[in-house]
Amino acid sequence: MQRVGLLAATTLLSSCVTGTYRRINIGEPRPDAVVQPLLEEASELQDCLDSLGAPNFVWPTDDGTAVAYTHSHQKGWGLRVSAALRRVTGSVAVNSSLERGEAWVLFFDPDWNLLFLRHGMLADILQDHPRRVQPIPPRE
Amino acid sequence: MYALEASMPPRPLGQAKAPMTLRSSLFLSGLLAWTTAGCIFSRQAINEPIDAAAVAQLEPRQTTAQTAVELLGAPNEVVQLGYGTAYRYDRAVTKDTALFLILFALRSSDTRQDRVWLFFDEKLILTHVGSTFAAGRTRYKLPWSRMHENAGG
Repeated sequence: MQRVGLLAATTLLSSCVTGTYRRINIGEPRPDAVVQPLLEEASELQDCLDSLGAPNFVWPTDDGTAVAYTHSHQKGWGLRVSAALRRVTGSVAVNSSLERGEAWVLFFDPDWNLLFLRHGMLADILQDHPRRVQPIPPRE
Repeated sequence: MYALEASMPPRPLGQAKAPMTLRSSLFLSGLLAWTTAGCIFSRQAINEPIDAAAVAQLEPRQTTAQTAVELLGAPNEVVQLGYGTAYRYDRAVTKDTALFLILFALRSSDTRQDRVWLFFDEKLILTHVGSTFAAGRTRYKLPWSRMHENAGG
């Protein structure tokens, strides 16, 4: 019994088994209760900026301008087991990560009236409403 | 160590002393854990702080892009929006907290930004201003503590 305990203590102390837990936060979430009413109140860009602050991203779309508020929260853990047997050293690592990235994107017409909102992953929303690539025609 | 020795049964004469008993190895393990466990606090900042007083001086329909740049400096990004433009200013602060317990490590990272977006029309007159000052709310926190007490602009 003593040998088992000694072996366990020695194994653990030689860092053969190590665990990690991490949490990463980027930005601050915008509550639904603040964002949703903006559409019902037929808001203009300045109303939205006053309510939500400065956005993370702004890009031109074919119909006007998109303004995005993003927040990312990641949690994860890891376990690593390593061992040295004679001349051979090996290790196994397991990592698990859960990332929740969400964005509110507000779409405005050229006169800065709020047209509609989208909530979800920014990459998905960008796919549906990409950055305008056509050049702006000169003013007549 | 004296107490440890005293609690051990008497060793028969002539028997060699054991190199390390379970108790003494556990004692050394505990001592090692106590002395080598540690924590790290680190802080990183990207860009200079944005002058909130200068932002307050900006007035839609009056301030020009030239005045804005004189007050705030060169923007981090300029986006063409139709005939108008938008300027972005930002500063980010990240605070990392890590706790090492030899076999287990806990890490928490919190990043928040100060941001200002200025929207100009085709004549480079300011039309809209949006500002968020959240970098000051960045905190050193361990993974189980609550991250957001006050979210919003």
